[in-house]
Amino acid sequence: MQQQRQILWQGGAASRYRLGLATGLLMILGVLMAFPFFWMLRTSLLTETDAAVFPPVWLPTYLELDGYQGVFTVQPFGRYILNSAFVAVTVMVSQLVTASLGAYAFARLQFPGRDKLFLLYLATMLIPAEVTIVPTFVLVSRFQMVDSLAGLIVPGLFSVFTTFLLRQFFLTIPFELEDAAKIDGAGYVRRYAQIVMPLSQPALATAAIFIFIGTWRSFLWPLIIIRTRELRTVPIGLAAIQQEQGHTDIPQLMAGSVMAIVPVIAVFLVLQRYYIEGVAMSGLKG
Amino acid sequence: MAVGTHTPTAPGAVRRPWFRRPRNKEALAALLFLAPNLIGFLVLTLGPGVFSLIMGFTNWSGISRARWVGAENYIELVADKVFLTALRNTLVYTVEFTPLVIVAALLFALLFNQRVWGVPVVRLLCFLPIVTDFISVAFIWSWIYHFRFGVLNWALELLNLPAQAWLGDVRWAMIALVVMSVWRWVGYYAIILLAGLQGIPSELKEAATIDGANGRQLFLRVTIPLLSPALFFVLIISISSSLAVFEQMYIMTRGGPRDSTISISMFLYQQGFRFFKMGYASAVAWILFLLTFMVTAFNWTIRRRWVYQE
Repeated sequence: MQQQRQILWQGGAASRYRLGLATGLLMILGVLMAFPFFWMLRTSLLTETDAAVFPPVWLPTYLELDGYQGVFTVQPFGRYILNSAFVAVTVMVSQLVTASLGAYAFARLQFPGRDKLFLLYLATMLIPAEVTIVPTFVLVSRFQMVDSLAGLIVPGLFSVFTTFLLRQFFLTIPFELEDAAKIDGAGYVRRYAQIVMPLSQPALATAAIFIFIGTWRSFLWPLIIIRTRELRTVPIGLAAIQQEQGHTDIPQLMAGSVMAIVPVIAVFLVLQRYYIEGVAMSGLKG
Repeated sequence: MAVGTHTPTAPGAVRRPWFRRPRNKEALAALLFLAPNLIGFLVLTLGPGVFSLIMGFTNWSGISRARWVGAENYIELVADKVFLTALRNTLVYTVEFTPLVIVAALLFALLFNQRVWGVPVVRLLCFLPIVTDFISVAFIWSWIYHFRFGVLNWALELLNLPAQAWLGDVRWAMIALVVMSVWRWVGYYAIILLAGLQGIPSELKEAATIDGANGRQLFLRVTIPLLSPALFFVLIISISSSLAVFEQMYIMTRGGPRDSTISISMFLYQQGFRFFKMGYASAVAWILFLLTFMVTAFNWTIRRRWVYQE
């Protein structure tokens, strides 16, 4: 990647000028991207009265943590973070299990109707989530899982996209490795667990971070399923801060947003390489 | 599945039970590996898809017994003023968002592809909005767009321009949502385009330069055609995600002012989960699917006209 990076408008006397222009443009765009985050952080550290002045003050004169305290007193926000983390991790682990088992069958085993079945999987990727939301709600309510964390987890136990992602990666692992293990008497389960899975760590990491972030930020499904205050996830709890108060305490909303973002950004920073590669890879497939 | 079918064995051969035969053994193993996945697929994806297709032809409320009403839901939808407004708004959003996000993403990708100081930091900044949950994004931007205390109106005042009620004005609400969405998603599309740019062999550019191509010719005749498969992918993704737009409207404008930002997905949510017209909502969902499918299919058919293929 590093060697391929190149100066786009090559040559000419004006190339240094162009490089300067590109740097300047990049800086401006970077500031535009960062500004909303800066503004959120800055507002979260103001008092309610300081936030409501015009023209706005740029930086708080002293750090005011009222907003952060307020979030925890008006809402069980710690509980929301725990709920979100629990749901996201459970969905991540179970979806990786079902997807990798299925992907192993699709990529490495022969069975009648395999390719036709996989094509059917791919076809369903065109169906927007909105189509399945009503029937899935019916299913979840039949099993008495409305207003429970189980109701949030169940629809995440399986995903066509994750199965697809892992299958594509499993196909790239040389079959000779498995053949060698077969001669040594390893059965399917051992070949899956001791050869294919360990070699697929990058793909599993990519899938894991996609699932974690996607589940953490999901909004519509928890909005439909959860009614009890103690069972809310972070996004639903945040929305409730705004809706349940007579007036809107802006620093408090911003403080809540900061706390909602921090865990996801932490996960992202640790695994960013896999996330970015995953996005880039999905584009090359198309 | 043909797992259990009887295969004739040669006379005199040792008859093994079917699951012990080598070929069937692999198929059986495959079935066991696939089982949890396949159950999930049938129960959570295919089943709901078929179910909602059928429900679209009933007057089901979610509780009462469903009655078959034929195409009535679809006929009613065509005359439903709010639905038509939602359809129009969704198309407006798509037409505004798609070109803006692709141009912005291309600009970022071209800059990321240069030896310029600060690229890793800005690339990271581009990803932060994507991983941020939508409610936080909506809060931040509602505050930036705030009529009285918003920083945007303050900036306009410095330039001697009039302040606007960004989210409360029919003229501005939709474009305000579009701008915010571009900010949120630009990094995602930029990374896909960057991967495309990095896949262009540098020999081609060198050859064109030797032949005397200037910067603009190089960009229009070499870079863009070779990038077209990535551009195509980005186009498909951005259109299909715009057609399903929901959260922006739901949390920031509630579809207002005067229904100017209600989208198809939001209409679906209201019909299904506010008014409990599940049959009607299912019909809306399938119209959304058909719309997405038709636009995607159309793009595939004109693909050959402009997408470079090896």
